[in-house]
Amino acid sequence: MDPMERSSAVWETIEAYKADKITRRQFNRRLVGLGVSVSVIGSVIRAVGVRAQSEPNADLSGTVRVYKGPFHPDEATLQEEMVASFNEKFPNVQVIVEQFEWPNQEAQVTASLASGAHDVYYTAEDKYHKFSPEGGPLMDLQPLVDAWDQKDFIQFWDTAKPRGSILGGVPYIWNIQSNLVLNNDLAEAAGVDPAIITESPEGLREAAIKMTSPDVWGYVFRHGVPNDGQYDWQGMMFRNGADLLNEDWTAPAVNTPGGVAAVQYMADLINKDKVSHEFGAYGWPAQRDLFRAGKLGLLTDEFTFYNLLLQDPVPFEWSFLPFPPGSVNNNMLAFRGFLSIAKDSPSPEASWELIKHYLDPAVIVPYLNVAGLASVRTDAAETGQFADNPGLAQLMTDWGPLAQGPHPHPQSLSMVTVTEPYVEAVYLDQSDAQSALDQAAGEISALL
Amino acid sequence: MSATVPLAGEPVVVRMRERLDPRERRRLARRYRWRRYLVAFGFLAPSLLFFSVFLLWPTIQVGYQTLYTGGILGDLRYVGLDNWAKLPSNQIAVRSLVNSVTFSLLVVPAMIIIGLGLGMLLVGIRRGSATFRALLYFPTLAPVVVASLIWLFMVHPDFGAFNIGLRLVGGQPLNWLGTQSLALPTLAALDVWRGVGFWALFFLATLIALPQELYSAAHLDGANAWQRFRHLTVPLIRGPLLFALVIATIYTLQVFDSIFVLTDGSPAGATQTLVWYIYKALFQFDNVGLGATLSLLLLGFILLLTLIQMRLLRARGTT
Repeated sequence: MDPMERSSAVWETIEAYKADKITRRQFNRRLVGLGVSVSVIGSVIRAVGVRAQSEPNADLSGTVRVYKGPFHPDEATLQEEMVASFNEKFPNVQVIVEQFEWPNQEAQVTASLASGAHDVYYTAEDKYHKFSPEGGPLMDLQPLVDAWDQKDFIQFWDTAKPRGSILGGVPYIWNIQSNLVLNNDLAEAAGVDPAIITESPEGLREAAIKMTSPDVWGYVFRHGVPNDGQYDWQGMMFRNGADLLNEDWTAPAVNTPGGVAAVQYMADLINKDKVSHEFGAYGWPAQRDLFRAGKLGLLTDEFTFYNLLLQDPVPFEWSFLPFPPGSVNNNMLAFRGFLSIAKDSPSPEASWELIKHYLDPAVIVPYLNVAGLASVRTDAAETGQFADNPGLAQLMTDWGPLAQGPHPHPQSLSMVTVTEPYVEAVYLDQSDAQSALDQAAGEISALL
Repeated sequence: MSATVPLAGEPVVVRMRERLDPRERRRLARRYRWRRYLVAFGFLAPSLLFFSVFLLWPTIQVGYQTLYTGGILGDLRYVGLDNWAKLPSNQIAVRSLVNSVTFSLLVVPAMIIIGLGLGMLLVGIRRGSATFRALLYFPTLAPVVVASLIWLFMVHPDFGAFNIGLRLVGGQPLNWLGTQSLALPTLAALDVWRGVGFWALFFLATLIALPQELYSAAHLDGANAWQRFRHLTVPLIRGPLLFALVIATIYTLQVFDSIFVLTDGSPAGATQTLVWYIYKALFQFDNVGLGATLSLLLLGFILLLTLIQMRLLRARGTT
C-alpha cells in the first residue's frame, strides 16, 4: 500500500470510529494493521475518542492536586498530555500534578495526607494497605466504583479491599517486583539449559554454579546496601508457603519451615555456593550495571528493567524468566499501584473524574507503553498495551496470573523493616535462618 | 538633686536634695524597677514568643504524645507510660542508641583534633591561605545527599578511592558499607570529612585571636612547640573547645541524612541510629508515641552529655 492509500485508509478508519460505525477494538486493530504506531493510535483516540464520547462538561469545576511518583524520566511531559486531554472534557477543572521521590514516598505521602495537601494519590501496594484501613485518611470509593461502567474492565479489586479496609483505591498498574533476567550468551557458554532454571530452586542453583567463574557471578539477587532485598526474600517465602503473618493475622509466620528454608537457600547461594557477591558489595543500580557489563549470569530485577534493556541495548542476548515454583506455590512478588482520593478532599467529584480519565484506555495505554508497566485493564492487550513490544506483551499475559502481592496488613512494611536486619545477619553468615527468623518473629509480634 | 544652668547675670539657684517620704521612695523605686523590667521584657518578647511557640510548646506536645500510641493519620490511643516501659526491651531502640553514641565517639574526637590541627597549620600559612580555607570548607558546603553520593564513589568496591589505595599498597579491597564492623566507621569518616573544614576555620579564628606576647615570652623561656601547645594553647582555647565539643556532639547524635541515603540501617542493623529510628517510627510504623518517646530520649541524652561536658571542662577553670 502506498503512503497515499494508507493515509486515506487511516482517515476512513478514523471517520468510521467517530461515526460509531466500528468499536474501539476494531479501530485499534485496523490502525495497527495499517502500520500506525501505538503511541500515535493513543493520540488519535485521545483526539477523536473524546469528541466522540462527550461534549465538554463545564459544570464541574475545582482544583485537583495529584501526588504521584515518576514512572518515566519525562513524567512531567507525559502528565501534561494527560491533563490536557482531561481538560478537553472538563475545562473548568484545574489539575496540578506533583511528584514525590520513590525512596521517600512513604514519609511524603503520609505528611501530605496528614496535612491535606493533595486530592489524588498514587500508592504502591506495600504502602497502600497502611492508608486504606477503615477510619483512615482515604475516601471509600465503593459507591463510586459500583456506579462506574468500566469497573468490570479492571482487575485486582480483591487486593484493593483486604480485610478491615475500605475500598481506598482503584487499581491502576501492576509490576512484577522480582523476576529473573538471564544472560543467554553466558548460559550457553556454560552449557546451561535455561529450562532447568525455571524448573526448581535446585535447578536455579545448579545453573548459577555452572555460570560462575572468576569474572562472572552466576546469580545475583538484591542484597546490597541500602538493601532492597525484601523484594526477593519475601517472594521466596511466598513460594514456600510462608508469609509475614499466619492466615488469621494473629501471629508471625516468617519463622515457619517455608520461611526458614527460603532465607537459608538465599544465604547459601552467597556463602556456600558463592555464586553471588558478598553481602552489601553492590546495590541494585550497581547490580544492573554488572549485568549490562556481562558480569552476571542471572539477576533478579523487576518488570521495568525489560524496557530499559530495550532502550539501551546490551551486546548479548538476554531473556526474562519467571522464578521456579517453590515447595508450595508458583508465584512472583508483584505490586499493584492504586489511585486514591483523600477523605478530606474538597474536590472529590473532579478527583473521581480524573481517576476515571487516567484509566481510560486512550490515556493509560500510551502512557504505560512508554513507562514499561502493565495496565490493570483486562482489555489491556486489545487496546494496544505493548502492541509494539511483543516480548513484554507476552510477559504481561503469562505472568499476570502469577502475581502475588505483599501481605495486606497495615503494618506489613514495618514488619519487613524489623525482619530485614535478621535476614541480613543470615546473609552475612552470622546466624542460621531459624534462629534469626525466630528473633524477627518476636519483633513482628510486638507490632501486632 | 537638680541644678539649672545660670544665664549671664542671673543668680545661681541650686535645689538642695529633697528628702522623700520612704513610702514614696519605695513606690518610685518599684516603678523604676517595673519600667526596666517592661523594657527588658519588651525587647525579649519576640524571641521568647518564638521560643515558646516553636520550641517549648512543641516539646511539651511531644512529651504529651509519649503517653499515646497510634498514627499521624489515625486516632491516638492512651497508653500511659507504656512507651517508656517498653524501651529497654525494644531491641531496635537499644541498638540505635548504642550506634548513635558510638557514631559520636568516632566522629567528635577525630573532627575536633583534625580541625584543631588544620587550624594550627592554617595560622602558619602566610600566602595562599584563602585557597586552603576554601578547599577545606568545600565539603561542608556540599549538601549531605550530594556528599553521601560522593562518598559512595569513594567506597565503591571496584572503583572507589579507598580500595584503589588499598590495592596500591598491596592490600585486599574492603566491603566498606557491607561489613558490619566497617559500616559505621565509614559513615563516621564521611561526617568527619564534611565537618572538619568548618571546625578548622573555627579554630583558626580562635587561634588568631590568642595573645601573641604569651607565645613570645614562652619562646624566650625556651618552651618547645609541644609545651607551648600543651600549656598555652589548650588552656587559652578551653572555652571554644568546650563549645566545639558540645555542638559537635549534639550534631553527631542527630545523624540521619547520610545513613538514610547510604545504608538505611544496614548491614544487619549496624547503622541504625536514633534519628533513623524516630523517622521510621513516625512515618513507617505510624507510631507517634514511639517517635515522641525516642525524641525525648534523644533530647534528654543530649542535655545530659552537654552538662557532663560543661562540668568536666569548667571544673578545670574555664568560665
